[in-house]
Amino acid sequence: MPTGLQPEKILGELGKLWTELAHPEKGPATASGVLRACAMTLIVATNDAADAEAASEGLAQLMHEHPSRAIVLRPADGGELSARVFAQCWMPFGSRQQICCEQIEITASLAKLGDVPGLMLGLVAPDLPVVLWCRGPRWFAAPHFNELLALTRKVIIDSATCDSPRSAFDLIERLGSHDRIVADLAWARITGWREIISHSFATPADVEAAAVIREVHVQYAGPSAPPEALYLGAWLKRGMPHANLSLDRVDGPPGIRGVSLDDLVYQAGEGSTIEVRSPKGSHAAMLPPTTECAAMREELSIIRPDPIYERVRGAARELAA
Amino acid sequence: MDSPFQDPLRFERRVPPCIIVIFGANGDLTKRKLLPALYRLAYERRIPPNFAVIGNSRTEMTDDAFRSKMRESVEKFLENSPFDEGLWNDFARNLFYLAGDITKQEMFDQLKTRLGEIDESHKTEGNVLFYLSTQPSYYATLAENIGKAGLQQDTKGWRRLVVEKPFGHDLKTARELNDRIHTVFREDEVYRIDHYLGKETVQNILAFRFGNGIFEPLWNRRYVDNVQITAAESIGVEGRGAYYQEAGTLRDMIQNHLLQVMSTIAMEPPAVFEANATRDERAKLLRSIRIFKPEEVPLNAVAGQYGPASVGGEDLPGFRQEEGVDPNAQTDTYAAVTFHVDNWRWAGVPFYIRSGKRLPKRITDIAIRFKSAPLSLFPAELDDGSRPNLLIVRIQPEEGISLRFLSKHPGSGMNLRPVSMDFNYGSSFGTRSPTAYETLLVDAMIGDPTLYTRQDMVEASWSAVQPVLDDWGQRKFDFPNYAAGTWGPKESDEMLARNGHAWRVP
Repeated sequence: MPTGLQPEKILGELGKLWTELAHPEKGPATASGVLRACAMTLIVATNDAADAEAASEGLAQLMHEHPSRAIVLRPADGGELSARVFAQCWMPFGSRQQICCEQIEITASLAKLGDVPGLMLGLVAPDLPVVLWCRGPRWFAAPHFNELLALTRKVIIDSATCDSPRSAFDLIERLGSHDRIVADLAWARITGWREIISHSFATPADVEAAAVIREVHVQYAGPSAPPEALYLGAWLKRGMPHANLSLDRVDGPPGIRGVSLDDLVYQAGEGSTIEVRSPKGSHAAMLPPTTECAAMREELSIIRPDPIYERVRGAARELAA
Repeated sequence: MDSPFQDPLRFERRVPPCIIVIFGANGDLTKRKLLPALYRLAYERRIPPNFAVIGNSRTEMTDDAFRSKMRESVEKFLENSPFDEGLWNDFARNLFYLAGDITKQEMFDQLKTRLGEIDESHKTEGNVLFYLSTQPSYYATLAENIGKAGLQQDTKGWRRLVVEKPFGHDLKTARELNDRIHTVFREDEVYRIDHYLGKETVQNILAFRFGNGIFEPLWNRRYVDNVQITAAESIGVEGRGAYYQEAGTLRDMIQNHLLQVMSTIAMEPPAVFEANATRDERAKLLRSIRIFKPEEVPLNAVAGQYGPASVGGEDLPGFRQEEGVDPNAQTDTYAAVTFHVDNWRWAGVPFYIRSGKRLPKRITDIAIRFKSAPLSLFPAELDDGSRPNLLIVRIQPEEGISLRFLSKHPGSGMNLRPVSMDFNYGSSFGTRSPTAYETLLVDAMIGDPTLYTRQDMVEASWSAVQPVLDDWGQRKFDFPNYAAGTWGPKESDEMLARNGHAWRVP
């Protein structure tokens, strides 16, 4: 346990913070006071000071839907462990009472990382799930990081931040081997694509027809096939086992640009629209937002194993090989 | 067979291919609720491309004129959602209109032809949902005309009928309506909509009661002192005076919405969470409500009507001064009833239900007041004298659950004061909740009637209020008996005081 930074001290500061918020003359609360909301502990391991700022901005949005005790881990080049506490508050539209969540920011050098798990043990909100959002792969190589992982029920990473899809899938495989839920924001980013494609295969007859599809093309833009394209290809192959799968690079904004399944075509269009064309006709469908925040929202709403993702990620890893 | 393309953890439920025929498509409900809900479902990718809407009313209109009218409504009444031009254009291609008189058989012959054409072009697999959004007096005729045209059945798909409330004007007319509808549609094809049951927080009552182990042991006559259900509106009749004076609060709110809420709060746990098992328990509860003898009605029911008042510097008219209202109207704009549930769980526990217009604020909630501790350890003058434990389920406007209990006030001596522990639905799940109509439309198209009322539920709730209706129908009230902006007539307070209870102030 580090000297000078005990969980009790940080929790004491949190207690003081809530007392201040509850008194309108001292805090930003209204006359109705504030409502404290917490559904989980969300530990956010950031890459550097700038990333910690970006993460805090993202948390401010996420808290509305997933109120948490957020603990932001901010790496530093050196120095002792330090912490500060503050609240994220907002006034819901039409409400008379502010809702507040608490945030703890811990600054630690890699050398001091070994002190962090012990500190975290005392800081997690009792009896609620602990989720770790790791915003970069470097943390997984840090000493004692496994002890931090041991606290968590779910780990969320973004494979797009790894050196290559292959290294990301290897990491996910390792993390998932300890009876822990692992999620990848790249998988959440293709939920809209998968959902729209699934609409073409809603009935048992459609599923049977899918089994005889011969050509599956996933089009992506970017220098090489991103994890999203690999996931989507692997997911499609589950329902079309006899098809030839091809990942095709095209011009355009990075990401998935289209999918074709024989004569069934899904093409990214203007804005968030996807045009679906088949011999029977065409129609438009809306793709949900694929921002980091939207993907995190989706992942935080699932605090249990995701059997479909677990099946697909192995196949995606093979595709990346 | 499990489809490798489905992902129930991440994908929303999706409706099957179908055509919705809306009768009364030029009315307020279609514009304000139905079309915005359908558009929102399309926005969330829950409606397939092989889907169509046929609107019907008497007004002559082309398909394009109907589309442009619906676009105006969707843009105006869409809640918490963006309007997307491209998606609308795609959605609007599936909107059609058929002008015609629903009392004339030739209109249904035209509808049959149109349904055939659209089924062919849109591959809707013969599935049709008929939505009755007309004046209630046309419901039975509509169902019968659908039957005469042979539209109620199809060799390949399903046919369903959605009926808006009110389901009858009293027990007799409700039975008549059911009988006439049943000459054409089977009960399992009839979906009677009560939009209160589609509200997220009403559904959440089931999760709260049956998903947790700690509340159900307290949920009975041994621990509960009384239950109060309040549905208050701060507004008046807002241009619906002519309709409202025929209906009144007891018919408009209590017979349907609030008795359904009460059945959800008081029902026994179903054996499985499945439509008929849940509806069986609701129906059993409604049948357990004691039917008043004529002499019991004045002791257990209070009617009120608001008079003019000045509230916050604004002069508000009384009900009888509202547009379209008879200056001598005997309509109840406020109703309070004490219901008694004669079953083992609730015997002796009064359920007080009140609803009214022009009350101090808009709120719907359920308060379960628990009995006091069996032995009072603390001098009575140190607490506020009331039974301290109160569980409040707030349905609107701020959905949530609060538990009130006593706590020691800091300082010397045992000074107790009530404190509240709150769960706010919006703060814990900040995600946008679907509107009641989105939920209920999807359920009807999927064929899940859990949140729809069944014939026996409708008749049981009419049976419960019929003695009150009979009594009030014969009396001449000295209205108005409460001023706009107050919590109703004093007789309502007296009704509770006779049992040693008092209305809480929400």
